[in-house]
This record gives sequence, structure tokens and C-alpha cells, in this order.
Amino acid sequence: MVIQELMRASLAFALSVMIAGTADAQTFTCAPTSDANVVAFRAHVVRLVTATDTGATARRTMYNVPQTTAAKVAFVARVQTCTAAGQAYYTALGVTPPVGATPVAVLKVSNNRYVVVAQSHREGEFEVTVTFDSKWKALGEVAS
Amino acid sequence: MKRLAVVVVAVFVTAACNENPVAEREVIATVDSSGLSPRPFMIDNPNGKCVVHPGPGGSNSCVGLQVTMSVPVNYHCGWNCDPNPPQIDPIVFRFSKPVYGAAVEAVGPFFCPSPDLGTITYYAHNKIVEVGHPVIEYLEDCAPGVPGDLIHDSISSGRAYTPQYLGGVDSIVVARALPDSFVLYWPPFHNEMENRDAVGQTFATYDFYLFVDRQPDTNCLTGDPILDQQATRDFLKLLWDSSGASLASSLRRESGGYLFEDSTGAVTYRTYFDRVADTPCESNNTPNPPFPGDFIGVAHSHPFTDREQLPNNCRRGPPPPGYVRLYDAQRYGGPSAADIQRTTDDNLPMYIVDSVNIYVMAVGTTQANALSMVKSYPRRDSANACTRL
Repeated sequence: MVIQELMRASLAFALSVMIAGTADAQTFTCAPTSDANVVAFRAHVVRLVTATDTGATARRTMYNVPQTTAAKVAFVARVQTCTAAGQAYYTALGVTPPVGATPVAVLKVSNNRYVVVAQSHREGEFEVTVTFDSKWKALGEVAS
Repeated sequence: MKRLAVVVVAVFVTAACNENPVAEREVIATVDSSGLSPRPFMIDNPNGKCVVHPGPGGSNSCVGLQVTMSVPVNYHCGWNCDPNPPQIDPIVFRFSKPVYGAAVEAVGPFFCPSPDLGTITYYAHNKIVEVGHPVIEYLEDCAPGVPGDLIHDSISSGRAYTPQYLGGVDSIVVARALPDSFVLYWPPFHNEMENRDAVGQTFATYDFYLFVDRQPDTNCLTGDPILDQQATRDFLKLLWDSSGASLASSLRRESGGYLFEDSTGAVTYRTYFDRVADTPCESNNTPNPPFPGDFIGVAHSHPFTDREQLPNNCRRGPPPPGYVRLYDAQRYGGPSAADIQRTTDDNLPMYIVDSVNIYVMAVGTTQANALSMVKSYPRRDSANACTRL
């Protein structure tokens, strides 16, 4: 009898942990590409990679993105990639991601760069854009 | 700087009158001061209109547009009007966008010995900021011998008022001179018997000479009417000097405050530092009453240079080893993402100063349109060989 009670209690505890774990889950979604701010984000990155003015090289170095064409800047729509990008992004910032689904805008530049921003996240008054390589190693972090 | 003279023509007609009570009502004449297309409009009046608040570069000429307003017949006719009813209530001229230095000139006959030449009331921020009493301007008919006036007949034409208020005016209320109808006086050397009982007939043209923008009072102009005030320049310099921009980056602080229009219409400011909450990358900037006037802008510093490394106390979490964060002043043209949100929330233009530039962000700026909306002016303008800060 005592054993049965203990088993029931253990089962209830395990279930409560599972439910709590589900409620606190940190997940990521791909930010909708129809959002005006997300569209503006891509336009910004396109300017970075296509600019030819004298300051362009320095700014590309700051973001650690290559010079290329606009066609090589594409939104990522695959949720697994956005999840990986979100996890890498918050690791780079050194903060815990918010609970619940967090949209992140992820741009793939050429074949070896991801440029990521969570536009709902602020550090001070700035949003932070992080550039990663294809293995999610952070290469550049810019506040704007 | 745009200067605009708007001529608002209001025609009043009176005839022989009987005294009648009139219902309270007002006529509102709306002037679309935001949609006016300037065209050359020369004012060579020796009274110097359009130099109401002469600043550097001020002149006696205006660039403006002539607007003709229609108002009811008989307006300001006090008695024995034809057609009835008489109408004596003030006229409200309401501007769709605030105007500046609006001198009012009323041209038309009135009873010149009267001590009451009417009133011109100026409203800003939904309150009275100035009440003016026009003075006789020209064609003084109360005494013979004035050039342009041949007879002594109790009628004068031309009264004017130039306001002292420096700020933006939303509306102007014109109240009539008294008496609004009167018996003419003809001197005996004219045909006295024929004219003795004639009644003064009024028709008036109201000319407004005004500016569509606040007039600058400093140099190294930008065209932004608030930034071209010396008070704003002083304020931005104060914010910058308070930021410790020459210190190590972690010791710097964003400094913020608000711009106001005081009771005289002049630009003034208050800082709202919170040295506990403020960081190198964020200022709390919460305004506390009492306020020195009406809010007209918000400002703060970004104590950095484009592409400079930001200190770790700008971060919310500890950086992984080897990670650095750089400042991109160009992403949104100068403001940050949070600045854009704040200018929307405050519904005020924002002024930001960093080590190189002053940025001006208008209400209506979004992250998507920031690059076209935000204006940038160098603190030291090599192109024009002048210094703003």
C-alpha cells in the first residue's frame, strides 16, 4: 500500500515536471518574411554585401559578411534552421532565451554565413545582429 | 528656411443698421497651412512685415501664397444690417499646421476715434498665448492732411498687430472693432447736409503675414526649425558634455531630456538624468513635472562613434570569451531600434547626438523607412565651413 502511494506520488511528480517543462520550453520560429521590419532587415544586409563605397569594406568586416550579390541573400524558412539559429543567437548574447516561441529573422548569405536577429530582443536601446558561420560559430556581433 | 505670407481675405459688408441681439456663434475659417505651395510674394511695406521676428538672414521679403477666404455677408455688422441677421461674433482662423509670427492686418473702414480697435487672440497648444490690440497703421482719417487721406470723416482704414509670441500658433481669433456701425462725420467744407446722417459701412480684408516654420536664431543652419534654435544646440551640447564621451566606454552614460516651448513660445529644455538606471547604451529619460512648457521634442546622446566597440555593461549577459560587440550608427540612419519606438510612443521628433553627427528623427519614422526619414547633420560641417556643436 505504501509502495503504491509512493508510486502514485512519483508519477504525479514526474507528470508535473513534464508539464512544467512543456510550459517553460524555449522554442524559435522563423520571423514572417512579410513583416516590414524583417523585409527592412534583409534590405540592410543586401546593402552591406553589395555596397561599393569606400566605407563598405569596413562595415562588411564589422558584420563579417562577404561581398556578394543580392540574390545570395535569402530568408531561411526551415524551422529547424531557425531553431538552431535562435539557440546560437542567445548563446552568443550570453542570455537565456525568453520562454515560449521567439521569432528570429535568419538570412543565409552565400553558402557559409547566417545573419540572425531577434527583433523583439533589446540590449540597452539596441537590437543585436549576430553573424554565424555554417557551424553556428559567432563571427560578428553588431548593435544598432 | 521657408517663409510664407498667407493673405486671408475676409469681406464684411454692413449697411444701415438697427440694433439686434445676435445668437452666439463663431465662424471658423480653416487655413490649410500644411498644404500651401510657396510662390514669390513680395512684401515691401515699410512697416517691415514678415520681419516679425527678424533673425540672421531675415529680410523684408516673404515667399508665400495668397489665400482668399470667404465668410458670411454682414459679419461684424452690429445693427441695421442688410440682409439680416447681423453677425458680431469673433472669427476663428484655424491653421492645420502651426504658424509663426502671424502679424494681422485689417484693411477696411472703421470708426477711428474709437478706443476699441478689436482684439487679435492667439492660441497655441489649446490655450491663449497672446491677446493683441491692433493699432492704427495707415490712412489715418481722424485727422486731415495725412498722405492718401483727403477728408476728415471719422473713418480710418488699416489697423495691425504684430505678436510677440515666438512659438507655433494653432488658431487666431479676430474680434471686431467697436462700434461696428457708426454715423459719419463730414466737415462743413464738404456737403454736410447731404452726408450728416450717413452710416459707416464696413468691409474689411484681413491679411496674415506669417511663417510656416519657426525662424532660426543661430547659424550653420540645417533647415530643421527646432535644431536651428540656439537653445536646442545648447541642449545637445549639454547632453554630449554630460555623457563623458572622453572617458573609457564603460564609464560613459547616455544623457537625455526633453525640449519645450515656454510661455513666450521660445524653445527651452530640461535634462532628465538617472545616473542609477542610465548606461552607456540606454538612458531612462523619464520627464518629471513641473514642466517648463509644452513638449516639442526629445533628445539624448549616443556617446560613441560609428563602429566603436561597446563595453560589456551594454550587455544583458556576460559575453562568451572573445566576443565583442560593435556599434552600427548607420543601420537606422543614427537612431536605434528603441529610439524609433520611442518617437512613436512620445509622438515627438527626436534629436540624437553622437561623436560626429546630430540626427533628427520625425514622428512617423519606422524601422522600415528610417533610412529615408532620419536626417543627419555633421557637428562640424566641413562643406559649409561651420560648426553646430
